Amino acid sequence: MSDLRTELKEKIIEQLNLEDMEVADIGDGDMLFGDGVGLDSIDALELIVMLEKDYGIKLTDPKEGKKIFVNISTMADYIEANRTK
Amino acid sequence: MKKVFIADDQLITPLGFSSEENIRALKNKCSGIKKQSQKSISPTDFYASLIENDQLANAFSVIGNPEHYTKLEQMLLLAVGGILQRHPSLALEKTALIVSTTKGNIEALDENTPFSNKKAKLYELAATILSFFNLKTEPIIVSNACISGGLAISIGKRFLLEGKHDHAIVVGGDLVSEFIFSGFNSFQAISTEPCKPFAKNRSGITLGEAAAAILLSCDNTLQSENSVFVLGTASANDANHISGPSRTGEGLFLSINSALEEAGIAPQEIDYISAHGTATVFNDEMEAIAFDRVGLFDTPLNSLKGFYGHTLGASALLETVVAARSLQNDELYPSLGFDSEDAGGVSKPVNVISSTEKRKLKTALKTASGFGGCNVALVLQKANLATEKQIVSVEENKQQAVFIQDYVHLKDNVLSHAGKTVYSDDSTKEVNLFAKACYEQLEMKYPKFHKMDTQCKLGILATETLVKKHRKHLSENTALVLSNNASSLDTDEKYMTGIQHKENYFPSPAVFVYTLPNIVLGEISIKYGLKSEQAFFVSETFDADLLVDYAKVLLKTKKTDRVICGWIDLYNHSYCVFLCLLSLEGKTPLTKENLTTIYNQNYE
Repeated sequence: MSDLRTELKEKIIEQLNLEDMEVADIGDGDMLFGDGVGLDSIDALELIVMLEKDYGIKLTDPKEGKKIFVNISTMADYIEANRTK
Repeated sequence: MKKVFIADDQLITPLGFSSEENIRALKNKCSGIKKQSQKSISPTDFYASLIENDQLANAFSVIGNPEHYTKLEQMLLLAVGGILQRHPSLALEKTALIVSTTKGNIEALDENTPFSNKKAKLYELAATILSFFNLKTEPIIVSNACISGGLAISIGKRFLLEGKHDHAIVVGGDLVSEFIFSGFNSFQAISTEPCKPFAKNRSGITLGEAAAAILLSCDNTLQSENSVFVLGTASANDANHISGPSRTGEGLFLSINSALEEAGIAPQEIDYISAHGTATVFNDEMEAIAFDRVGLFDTPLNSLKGFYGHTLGASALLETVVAARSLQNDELYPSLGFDSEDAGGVSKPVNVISSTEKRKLKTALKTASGFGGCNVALVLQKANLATEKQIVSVEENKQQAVFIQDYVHLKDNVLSHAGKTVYSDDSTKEVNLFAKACYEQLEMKYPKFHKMDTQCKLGILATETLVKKHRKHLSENTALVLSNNASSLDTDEKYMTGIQHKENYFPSPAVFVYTLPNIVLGEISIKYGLKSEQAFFVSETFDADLLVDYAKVLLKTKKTDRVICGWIDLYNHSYCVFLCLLSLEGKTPLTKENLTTIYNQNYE
């Protein structure tokens, strides 16, 4: 379980170009959007691409993203439940 | 007193290859949007408004061989050809050619195309038009996202009022390609049904392709009794986000007010608005807010995207033609896709036109907005009821002396300021690594930097160096006029790697947003709070003529009090950046010779 969380943090830092951040800087419960990690609307779209590309999950309704991407934990839980890769 | 008007127009769209045919189709509520099944554009069926290739080739074969020209070239050549055919004695050496496009012949990058990949360069597209008709002036290419067509009209009008030319052929066009379709799709921006601008359940854009051309002139002999004048134009940046529009409609609000002020028109005098209305949730909401802020909540408005789809580089130009004809015909055309049950789709009241209506019309407002936070507004007025009001006349404004106050170069892995090296690093050939090193050297602390494409990073580094000394002089009123050779081709190729192989088909929205050269204008605007006039030009080499003339006209007409202008070019690991600050004070007078000398200068 915790491997996936670390993996997600690494992926987010790399794919979203969060150069000044390290895995240790992102808490499992930190808000990804808004004041926490500070991701924006384009990052949200990139996360949707990442879900499909790396975990084989195609979001049928992109608005679902709001609930899935709250923090690393919610993301990891969703991926564990739905991944096909 | 000189005024600029639209002397002629030509539309090449799925609704017809003449402007008259197009208007008839609008009156009959015939949309160009159809369900398409084209695997070369999208793996699944989609809605779009496309020009039929055979129909186009047939029409084009009257003037040239369709096998020698790309689809886009055929469209643009037919559009320009129509106008030239009706004006055989137009003085070509006094006629500007202004070309508006976002992606041009982007498909020429594909190995499978029969055309040379040189055609992907936007100035080659303009050169094709130039040589086909033996036109005589250096083309001006405007590539500024979806406001390009409106901005091109604004630029043409400004140059005509300055006497740089007597006429201008302004032509714009774009295609629906896999590149563009996949990109907007990665933004979840494409509606699964035909788009519904301003409607409650709108869910995104429908793409379209079209070409449009107009002949702008200030020559009375070309005027007719109901010519439509371009009385006021303005552009402004939201300085908010590179893809999402300002929640307060800031840039659009500023543009509309500036255009109205130049035209000497009060908001209540606007009879009709041709909105951008792309049918995304955010765009239409932003427009409604901006119109409301100006006091236009009751003015009849439409979006033509329900008929044509979003035609990108053609859109503002095509829609201006329809708006002008609307004025001339005293007819309001419907906003297709909006019915009575669609009301309440935006948080401010909007008066959406639901069916063709005869009405006395005099003055129209055309607006457009685009990626990079750009916005443009045009005020159009029909001649026979034109007021004698004094426009904030260019003739009243005197050209004050303009100076090159400061400048920066970034080339050969050297960042230099006013000729003195600030930082150099020849240890790496990788542009991106050099950019990162500069960022650290300048101690920037701006996390957004790392998300930018390399071309934008170079632009931000140069701007940061340039403005350090002048921060207190910069205001949101500082204009930004940039240019380059390769538009966004460096990033375009990077984006294409995400869509080239069907087994690994993952278009990236974060890359796609940078496949427009004007995004660097947006990034600079956001960081430094610039909300004024902006433009992105593409030319084969640094065009001092164009930059000097355009900066001067912006300053003279008081659209701005300072201009940051220059060149930001990157392609295939080779780059060159030059920025200068132009103002009404300084030591070095702004002349073409001085600017060229400084551009070519080496660092110490």
